[in-house]
Amino acid sequence: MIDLLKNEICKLRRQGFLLFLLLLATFPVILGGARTIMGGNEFELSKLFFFANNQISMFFPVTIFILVGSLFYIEYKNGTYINYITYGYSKTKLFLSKIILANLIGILLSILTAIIFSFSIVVANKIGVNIIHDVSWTSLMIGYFIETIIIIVVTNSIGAIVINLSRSMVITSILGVIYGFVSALFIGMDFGYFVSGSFAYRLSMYFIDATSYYDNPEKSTIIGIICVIASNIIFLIVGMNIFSRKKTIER
Amino acid sequence: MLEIKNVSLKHKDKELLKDISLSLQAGKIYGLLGPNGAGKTTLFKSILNITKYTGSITCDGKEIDLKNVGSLIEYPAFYENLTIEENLKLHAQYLKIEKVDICKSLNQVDLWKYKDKKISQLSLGMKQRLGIARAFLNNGKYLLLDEPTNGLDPIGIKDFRLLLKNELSTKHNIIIISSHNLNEIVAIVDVLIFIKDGKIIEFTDNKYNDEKELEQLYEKLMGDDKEKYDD
Repeated sequence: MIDLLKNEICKLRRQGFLLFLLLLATFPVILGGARTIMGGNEFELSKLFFFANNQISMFFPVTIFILVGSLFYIEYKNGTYINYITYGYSKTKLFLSKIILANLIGILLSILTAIIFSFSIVVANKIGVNIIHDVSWTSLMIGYFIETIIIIVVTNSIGAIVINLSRSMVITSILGVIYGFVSALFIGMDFGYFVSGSFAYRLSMYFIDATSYYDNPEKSTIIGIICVIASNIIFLIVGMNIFSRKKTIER
Repeated sequence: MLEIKNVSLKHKDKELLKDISLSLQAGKIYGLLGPNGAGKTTLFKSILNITKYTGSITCDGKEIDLKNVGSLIEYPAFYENLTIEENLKLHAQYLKIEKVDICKSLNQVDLWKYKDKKISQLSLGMKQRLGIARAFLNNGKYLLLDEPTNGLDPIGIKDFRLLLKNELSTKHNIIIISSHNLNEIVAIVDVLIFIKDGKIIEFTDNKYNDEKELEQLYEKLMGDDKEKYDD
């Protein structure tokens, strides 16, 4: 598997889509950071994160959708799919190597976004903006990473299904945007914990404001976690089956 | 020995391969001839185990180890963002070839001086030559070449012929070539296999001296389908 991962990384040389994804992932915090630095004299840390996180909850799933789509699309776009599946590796391993890489890049994007957010606060402090630390930076980051990791693993599994069924980046990108909107749509709903992206957002916000969480925290958390794990397993199995099933003639 | 036994393939009510049985011996070059849509590429894909065929394809009684197969199927496809050398290195990494001589392989197809060029900067002929280099990089037991001279200029075709005859063909490997170029086939192959509508209609030693003799046989065997061949 390590060798397959290394090979996947080799394919990313000079790939412009990685820069695009970096901009897309960090756009919300760059925007939030600029607003902080230029927009006023005093800000509460929780409000800054709230502003950025609203954007992240929508943009990050789109970014991950395009990321996993692009990793599979490399084979379809270049016409290398036939070569790729005739090296003698099981298709399950090939599929998992791309999913693992998508997860790793997703986590890297998440870390970079957190660094930019933290850096903008430091810069704002330096230039005289008063940042009120009404929540601890640590709990804020814990919430943020739980949210993004849930988004990464679930979205990668869904995105893999879409790209391997459609073999089209246009369709994958459009569905990625719709997926981002749908996740955002369920955020405010009481039963939103059934939708992984919405649950992830509410969970992250719990760390900065417990009152913004669901009415029945214990039940919601348990159901939310079960839904995240179950949906990820189901989407992963479906995606693996779609990729691995033998076609009458591979093209 | 490569044994193809009763191989058939049906797709959307169309029989693409009909009960194909062949025994191919090591040390020989086989030429697969037939009009467009006759089943040449489908047969290659079946050998590569990427079709849902019925029947069996085995090597000395065992399933074919794909790491022993070099192939150029349909068109030469590469990672466009990578260079020539990077593509071959990646191919070698996938096949876990320990001692890979990329310099020698690229020199054989006259591409070493372009090793740092990205694939997107190459002509079709150069891609085709690179496809040939990639196919034989692993010195596989089986070399499947589907229209290998497509896009090559006359000098490139001549070089390919010499390379195949003098360096790639050994007493241990089996080479199968499909081509529309009878001149090339008559000069290269040891055995001719004619395929029409998914069925093998003739399997004969290549005892022909020139293209015209082979063309006469081809016309006789293919009949009305000759037009398709000329396309």
